[in-house]
Amino acid sequence: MTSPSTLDAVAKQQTRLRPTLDQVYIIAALMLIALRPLLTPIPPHDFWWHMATGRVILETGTIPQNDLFSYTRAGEPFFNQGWLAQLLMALIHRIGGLPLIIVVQALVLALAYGLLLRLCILRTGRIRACVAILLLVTMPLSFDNWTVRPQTYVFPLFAGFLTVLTGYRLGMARRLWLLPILMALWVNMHGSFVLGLGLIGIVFAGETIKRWRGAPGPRLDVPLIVWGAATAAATLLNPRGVEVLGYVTNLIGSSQVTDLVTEWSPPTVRDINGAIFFLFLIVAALTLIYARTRPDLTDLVLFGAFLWLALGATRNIVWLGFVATPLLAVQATTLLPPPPQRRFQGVPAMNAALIGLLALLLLIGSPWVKPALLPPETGALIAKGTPVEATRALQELPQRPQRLFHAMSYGSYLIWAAPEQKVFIDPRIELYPFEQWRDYILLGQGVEVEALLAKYRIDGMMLSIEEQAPLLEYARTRADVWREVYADEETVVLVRSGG
Amino acid sequence: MSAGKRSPLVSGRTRHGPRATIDTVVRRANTSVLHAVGGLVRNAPFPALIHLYGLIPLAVVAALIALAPTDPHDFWWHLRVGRLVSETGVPRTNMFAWTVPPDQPFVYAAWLSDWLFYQMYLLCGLQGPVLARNILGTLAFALVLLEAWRRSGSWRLAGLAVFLAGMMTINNLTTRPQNWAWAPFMAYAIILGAYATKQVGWRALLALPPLMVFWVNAHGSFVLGLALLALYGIGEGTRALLRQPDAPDFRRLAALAAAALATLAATLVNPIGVDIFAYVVKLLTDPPSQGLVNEWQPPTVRSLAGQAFFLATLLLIAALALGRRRLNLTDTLLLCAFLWLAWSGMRYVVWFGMLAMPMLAQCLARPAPRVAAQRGDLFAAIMALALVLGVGALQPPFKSSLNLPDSYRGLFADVPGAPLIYSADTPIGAAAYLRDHPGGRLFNDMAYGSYLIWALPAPQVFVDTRVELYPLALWEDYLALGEARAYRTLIEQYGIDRALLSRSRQAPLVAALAADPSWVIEYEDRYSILYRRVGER
Repeated sequence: MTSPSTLDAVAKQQTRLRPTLDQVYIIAALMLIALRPLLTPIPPHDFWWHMATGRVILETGTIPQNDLFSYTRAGEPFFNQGWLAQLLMALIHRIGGLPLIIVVQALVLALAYGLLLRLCILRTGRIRACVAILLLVTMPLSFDNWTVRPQTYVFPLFAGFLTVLTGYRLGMARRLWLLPILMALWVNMHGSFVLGLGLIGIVFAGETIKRWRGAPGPRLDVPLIVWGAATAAATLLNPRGVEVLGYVTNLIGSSQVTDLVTEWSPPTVRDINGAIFFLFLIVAALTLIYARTRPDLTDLVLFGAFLWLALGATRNIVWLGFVATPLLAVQATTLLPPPPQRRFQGVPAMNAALIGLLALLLLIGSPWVKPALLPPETGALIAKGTPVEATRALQELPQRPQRLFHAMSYGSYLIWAAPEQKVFIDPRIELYPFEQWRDYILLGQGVEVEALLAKYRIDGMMLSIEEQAPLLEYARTRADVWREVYADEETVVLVRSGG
Repeated sequence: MSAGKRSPLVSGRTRHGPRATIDTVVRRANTSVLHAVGGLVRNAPFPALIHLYGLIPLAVVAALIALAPTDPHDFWWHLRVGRLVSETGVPRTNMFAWTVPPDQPFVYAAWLSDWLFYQMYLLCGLQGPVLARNILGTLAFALVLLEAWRRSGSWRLAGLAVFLAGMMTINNLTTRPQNWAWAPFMAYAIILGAYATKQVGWRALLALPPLMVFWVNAHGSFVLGLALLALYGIGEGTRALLRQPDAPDFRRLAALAAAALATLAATLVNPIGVDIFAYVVKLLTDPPSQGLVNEWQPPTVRSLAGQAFFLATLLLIAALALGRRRLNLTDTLLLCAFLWLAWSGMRYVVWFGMLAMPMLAQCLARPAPRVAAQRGDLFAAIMALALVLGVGALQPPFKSSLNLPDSYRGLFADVPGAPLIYSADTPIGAAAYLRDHPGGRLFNDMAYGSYLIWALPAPQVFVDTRVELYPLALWEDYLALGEARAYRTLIEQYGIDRALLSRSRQAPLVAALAADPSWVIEYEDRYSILYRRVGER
């Protein structure tokens, strides 16, 4: 007769080798989350100038304090607040090139949303429902903001803050000491670190109100105050100390940023991502209406605060996704019937096969394999609109223009691929004055062309056919002045004749 | 008192002597008077103190409406059309702009509102239309108050609902045909809401078709009445199918369906019949209107009204989550539909506010509201009277005699016979000059075009706020001209030889013409400037 300990051992061994359906759900969620960045070519806008800055940090060992890349703002002070993320990106690229950058992006997102999924499961005990909410609600809301840039690298830190604070206030764990450590990283990676302080403040406020209204616990949460203060102090652990707060304030208040950048503008129903956001609000409202219990006050205050933030700028929607998902999971699961005692866990072999299939998808989607198998829209590593060939053509010119006018996204790529070619403008929005942005837009629209070309002494142009057609048309009607030296489906390069 | 009984007041006889008799009579008379007065107060329809929770916010909103200037954009051409309707019938063509053919068809869908405004003008001069706006706005928000009270049973919450609905409407208070649609919309919401909760019978639905006859000729928002009917029909029908508590039976649903059909038929009672729907579709898909006009743009938190709207939305979600009462399926459907509508355009926020804020009140109310005895209160009556007088004092005939701050007075144009009513950028002086010095092909600011249509005997404007009349290309040229982009080319193209410009809205062109020797200033004031082209360039 087999002893119980042996049976246990066999059972454990079987469990390890025979995945359950619940495990399949979790693994599938993480794999699907990872698949999205794997299949998304890197767009040109933000990525390249961050990489270039990281390269400078890696090569010189110092963080640039001034503009190194443009001719219009050469030498002007520029705050590279996200230097640590930039350094990481450059290091990853040095080790494994673009494929490794993409894989790390996928891992970072899987980690961030894996933490979020874990939090939802801990609060509800309902694995499959949480997976469904994450994939069907949170992902569509958030994945427009999953571009490769420092902001993505702090998603796990945000999820970590949320996990620690939720675990603390619900009595699941006491790990507030992690917050200053996470903040020390965050403050050097991205300007969103202030949201960490916001999370602490809102949780403190929510819990205090609850206690004043009779919830158990002391009126003032001293540990939260202490570790909150330590976290605030941790924001000073950056190369510029307290100046980092001024940087964030200026960035948010900068009219260049808030008026000119699409993702800083408020969401509306007129574009697909805005429509998804407002649809999410409807779903959230319906969930709250029909849930069988009232939501936790702190959850609701967090939701309200981050909703207001999201209403102010599209780029803040991703944070709302993190904060709202646990609330929605808790409320939505009240509508479900209680789970059966013994839940159907599928056939282990089938479960393993499903996981294998997903792994195969990941393999096909991996950046080392996908270029050979998938169409360019998903198979390419960098997105259409990155002027790779045009830049090469520019570099091959015997006499290159010194003061090149170009599309903003091209500026980012030029900074990386042709650092010797100083740029007119690039996505470092806050570096350039509003007047220059206005001139950039007018010139691209073919307005006041002569005056603006003279103002900036432009001797070359690398134009986006899609975004700068009027200027291109102008240049082509002045063939005596502008000579076309390169053209492809997206980009045209012109130089002044005789210059 | 029975017929045979005499009042002790007139008996003349008491148990005591004559002096005592007089004292007694006087004392009894005084007591009786006091009793009578007390009885009057108790039984008279005086407001109770509790009603002040609703009346004060209503008065605040009514005051805001009365204080809001009427800007030139929409109002004046409607008044001109009202005169035409009164004199010759409903027009059907352009008439006023030289940039499109004079006989270009144009649907004056709000002809009835225009006519009503004109009648108010005949009655009270230029104060009349704005007085109408104030009355209509107060009536509409009074209906919001009533609806909120009907749903919640609480005057406090009803007052909150009115206040929030009013704040959301703060950028939509100008005088224009939409004002005539506010009350019908609320009437529809109240009747259908009361019908759904079985507070009224099918007879109440009889009011809907006649209201629609008015509404379809007053403003294009009549489709919202149909939307309300459809949503109530779908919601209540679904509730019946799901056999929810208090769901309507087949007879009530049939009555609702009949009312919906009758209302739909009533929409055909307008000068262009079924084509009114084509007009609405055209307006909703017109690129210049949808792309260029601010109020057709989605609301954002970057404006005060947008912040009020989204704050109210957040409060609503919180109320839905934490509230003591839950919305039923029909109300949820209404809320989602009108919320989506409001998110798609600022001009829809007013409808959302009027519909949703009573629902907010309902969610926050106690499950079974206590029906406290509400006795008429003299103090409350005095307060209510004070509020009425206060709001009354802000009405056009009286407002100018109030000691209002100069900064407020500076918001208004000096319109003879209508002080403190029309906004300061109404081009009174420029129009008077053009009246005395007609001629030329005029380029004008869009809002000025509206006023010129009223003020000039034979107006010919470049554009005005009949946005859907003009093609998109023309609007693009209008914007380019205002920004002085390729202005010389466009001026030649259109043959423009006069330009009435807004100093603030068309500053680049003002500066360009000022620097251009081929243009001279004919007239200027603080807000507008009129240029004339001279000789060849």
